Amino acid sequence: MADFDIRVIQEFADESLRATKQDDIVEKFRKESRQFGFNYFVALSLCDLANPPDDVVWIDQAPKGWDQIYIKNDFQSVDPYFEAAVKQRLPFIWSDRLDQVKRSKGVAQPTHDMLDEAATFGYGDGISIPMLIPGTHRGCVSLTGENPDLSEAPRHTIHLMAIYLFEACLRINKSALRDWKAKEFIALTDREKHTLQLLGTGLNASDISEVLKVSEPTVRY
Amino acid sequence: MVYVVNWENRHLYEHEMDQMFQSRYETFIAGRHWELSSRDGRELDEFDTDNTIYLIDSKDGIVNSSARLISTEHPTIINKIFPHLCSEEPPCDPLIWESSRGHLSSQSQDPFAWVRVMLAQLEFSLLLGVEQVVFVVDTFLLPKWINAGWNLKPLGPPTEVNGESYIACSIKVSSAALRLMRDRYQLKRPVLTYIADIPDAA
Repeated sequence: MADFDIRVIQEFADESLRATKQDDIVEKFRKESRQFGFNYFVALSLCDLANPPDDVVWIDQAPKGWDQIYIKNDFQSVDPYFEAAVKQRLPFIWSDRLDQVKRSKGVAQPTHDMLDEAATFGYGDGISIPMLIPGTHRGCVSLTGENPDLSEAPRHTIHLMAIYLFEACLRINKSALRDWKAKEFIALTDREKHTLQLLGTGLNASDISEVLKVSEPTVRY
Repeated sequence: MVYVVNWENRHLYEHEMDQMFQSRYETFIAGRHWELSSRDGRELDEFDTDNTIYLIDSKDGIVNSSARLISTEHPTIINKIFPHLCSEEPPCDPLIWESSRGHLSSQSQDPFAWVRVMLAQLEFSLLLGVEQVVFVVDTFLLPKWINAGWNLKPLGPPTEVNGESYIACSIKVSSAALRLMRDRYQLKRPVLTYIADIPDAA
């Protein structure tokens, strides 16, 4: 059984705070979590997964093909762990959460179907870690494997590392998105940039067509 | 501005101190249902002593936000109540101070007041040569503090207390940390003010 070692977490925290590439810190987290039997994980902003906005965290280290099946079958709407991650503050073990659901309202057939399907992908028990950064979507890191070690020390270790992982991914994503948007802006023609700047001042398409001496459909285009 | 209040000048801030203790009661006892000692609707404990420094963000006599700082060479929440939150010996060092009871007053209309108090903690620590600030934080909100630019390191495992998870953390005080926070919040000027007691001319 693993011991809790704060130095391992502090080292991970150091790396994640310095990280500038998402892949590096994801790989480090993958290695650390595998030691405890967590073969798969996802780090997600809890948004509409079928139509995610572009400023979210979306790290998918689940078995290949699971994301497509999950979205195609709208498993998000019947996933008891997703529902709990949206509502709860504390990390939870999936089997504990499922027991709660069984006791309170019973497990609906679509949820059974989702869990059966997940098992065929190698999903056993797991853990989800909800977290909050104001101004963004609530986040969650979930890990699973066929037989993960869910004793206290691994749970605490993974809990803290997941927080640093999520924060690093969010920060790096935001920075990349800013760079991408800046490049997109640079790629525009001078006339297009001028149009956008005028839009930013509150003028409508008709006003701008007057200023730029072009037709309104051109402005809209 | 964020005022530094200590045992020497606290008589200049009696009104603000009283508001702060009331606000602490509303936030931590009435709001979060923490089991803390209180007196006449004011929350005070054994760590509110002459060794305690208060950082109070106040405008026109209204307290918006506050926090308290105590050197860990004195009794603190971490070394007296929650030593088990630290994997190693809890800090006991004049260069390591504890921050606690940090909050935004429920009456405050200025959400940036809490940012100013966070910045004030770094400014104060740099002025005094403090090397680390330690505190206990709600684990659910830990990403928020990291994202705010605090270079946070956990000191031990998260621990559940009354259905909530808490963790002891430390931040390394540095001018780089202060710069990063100022950049992140676009607050370029110092926020700290210290008014010493000036004896009346005879």
